[in-house]
Amino acid sequence: MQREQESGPAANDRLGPITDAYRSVAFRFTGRASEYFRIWVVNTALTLLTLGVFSAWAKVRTKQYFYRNTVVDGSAFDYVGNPTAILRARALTAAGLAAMLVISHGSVGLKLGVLALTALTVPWLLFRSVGFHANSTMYRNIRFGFDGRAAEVYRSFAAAACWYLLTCGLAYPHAAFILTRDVLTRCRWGELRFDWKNSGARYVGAHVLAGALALPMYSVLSALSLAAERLGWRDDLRMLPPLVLFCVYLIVLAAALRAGLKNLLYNGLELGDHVVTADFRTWEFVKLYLTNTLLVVLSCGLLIPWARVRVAAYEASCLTLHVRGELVAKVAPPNERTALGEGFSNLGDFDLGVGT
Amino acid sequence: MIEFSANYYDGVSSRERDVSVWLEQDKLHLRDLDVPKSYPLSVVRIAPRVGSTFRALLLPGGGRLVTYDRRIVDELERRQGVPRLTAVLRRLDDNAALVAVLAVLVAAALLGAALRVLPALTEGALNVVPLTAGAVASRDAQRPARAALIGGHAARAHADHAAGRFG
Repeated sequence: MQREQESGPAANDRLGPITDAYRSVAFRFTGRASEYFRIWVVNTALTLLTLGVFSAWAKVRTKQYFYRNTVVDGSAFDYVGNPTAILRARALTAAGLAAMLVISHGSVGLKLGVLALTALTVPWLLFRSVGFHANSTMYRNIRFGFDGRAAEVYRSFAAAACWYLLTCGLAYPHAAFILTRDVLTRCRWGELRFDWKNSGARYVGAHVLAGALALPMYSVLSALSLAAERLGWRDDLRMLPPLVLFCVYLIVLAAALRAGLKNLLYNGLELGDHVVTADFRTWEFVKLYLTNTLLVVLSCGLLIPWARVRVAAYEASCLTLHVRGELVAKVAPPNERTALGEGFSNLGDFDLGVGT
Repeated sequence: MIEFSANYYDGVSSRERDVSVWLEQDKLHLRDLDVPKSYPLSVVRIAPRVGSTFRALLLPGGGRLVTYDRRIVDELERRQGVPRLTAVLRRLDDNAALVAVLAVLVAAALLGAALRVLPALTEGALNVVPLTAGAVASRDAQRPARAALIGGHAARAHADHAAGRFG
C-alpha cells in the first residue's frame, strides 16, 4: 500500500499549538483527470439516456472515485452509499414537491398547510442528508456517523431560523454557524467523536469580508455601464462588459468566501485527540475558479472532470491531520448509535449540504 | 492458484493488517493473521471497480480486504459472475472509442442546453414573474439587460407581452 510522507517539524513550528506529541500527516488526492473523464462521460451519457434514473449510480461512482483517491496516513476513504436508496429517496422527494406544487394552487388554508408541512419536513430532510452522507463514508473500514436526535435537530433549526428571520436575513452567517456547529459536534468516526472549536463572530467576519468586496465592484460596474452608454454602444453590447465583469466578480467573491469558510470549518475540527488544520488561500481558489470556468466554457463542458480533479487536489493539499498517538477507532457500540443515525444508511439520500 | 497481498480489517477496529490471500477450491484463505481465516468465495462481496482505485472485498461479519491488485480481483469477480450493470459499465469505461463517441454526445447536449434550454427557461421565468408598475415604467431601461441575457428577439417579445398586459 502507498504511504505518504509525514510532514516534519516545520509544520509544527508553523502551527504553534500543535506540539511534538502530534504526528502530522498531509491529505493527498491521487485521482487523474484523464481517468475521471471516462467515468464522467459514461455517467453523464447514461444519465441523459435514462432520463435521470442513472443519476443515483452516477453519484455513487463519482463519490467513490473522489473518496477512494483521497488519502491520509496511507489509507483512502471510501463511499458505500446505496444507489437504489438514493434513487428511491429522490423519487419520493420529487413526488412530494409535485404534490406540494399542486396543493399550493388551492385555498389559503391549503397554502398555509403546505407552508407548515415544509417548515416541518425541511429540517428533517436537511439533517437526514447529513446523516446519510456520514453513514455512507468510510475510512479504514469504520463508518462515519451522525447521532443527531429529532428534538436536537428541530432545536438547532429553530434557533438558526429565528436568527435569520428576526434580522431579515442579515444574521445568515450566524444561522449557518449554528447549523454547522450542531452538525459537526454530532458526527463521529466509529466511536471517536468530532468536536468543533469555533465562534460565530469569525463566521460573521468571513461573510462581512466577502460582502465588503461587493461595494467597490458595484461602483465599477455602474461606471462601465455609463461609459458604454456615452460611447454610444448598441444596447446589447453595452451590457456585455459589465456582465463579464460581474461573472468574474462572482467568482472572486465565491473564492474568497469558500477559502474563508473552509479555513474556519477545518481549523476548528478535532476528532478525539487528533486535530485537523487547514491552509486554504483565496488567491489559489480565484486562480482555480477563473481558469476552470474559462476552460469549461471554451470546451463546451468537456473539461468539467479536469476542473473537478484540480479542485479536489488543491483542497486535499490544504489539509493536514495531526495525529496524537495512534489513528485508531472502533465500531461504535450499538447503544451509541441512535435509531435515527442508523436509519440513515437505508432510507436514502437527501443531499442538501450543510456547512461543509 | 490465485494469490495476492491485501490489507485486512476485522470489522471491529480500524487497525489494518498486511495479509496474504489465496484462492483454493473456491475458498479464500487469509494468511499472516493470529488465527488464519477462510471464506467461501460465494459469500465474499466484491465492491464495484471505479477507475484505478483500490478494490475492496467485503467479508462476512464486517471484515474487509483492500488491495490495489486489480487484475486478480477482476478474475475473482469473473469467477463469481459479474452483475449485468457492472459488466456494462466496465465495457463502457474501458472502451476508448465508445467514450469518445459519448463525449461528443455529451458536449452536444451541454451546448444545446446552454444555447436553447437556458434562454427558454430565462424567457419563461421573465414571463411568469409578475410585473409591477415600477417595472413596467422602467422596461425600456431593462431592455438592454434582457437583450444581453436572452437575445434581442426574446427581449422584444417580453416587452410586447408586458405592454399588452399593462399598456
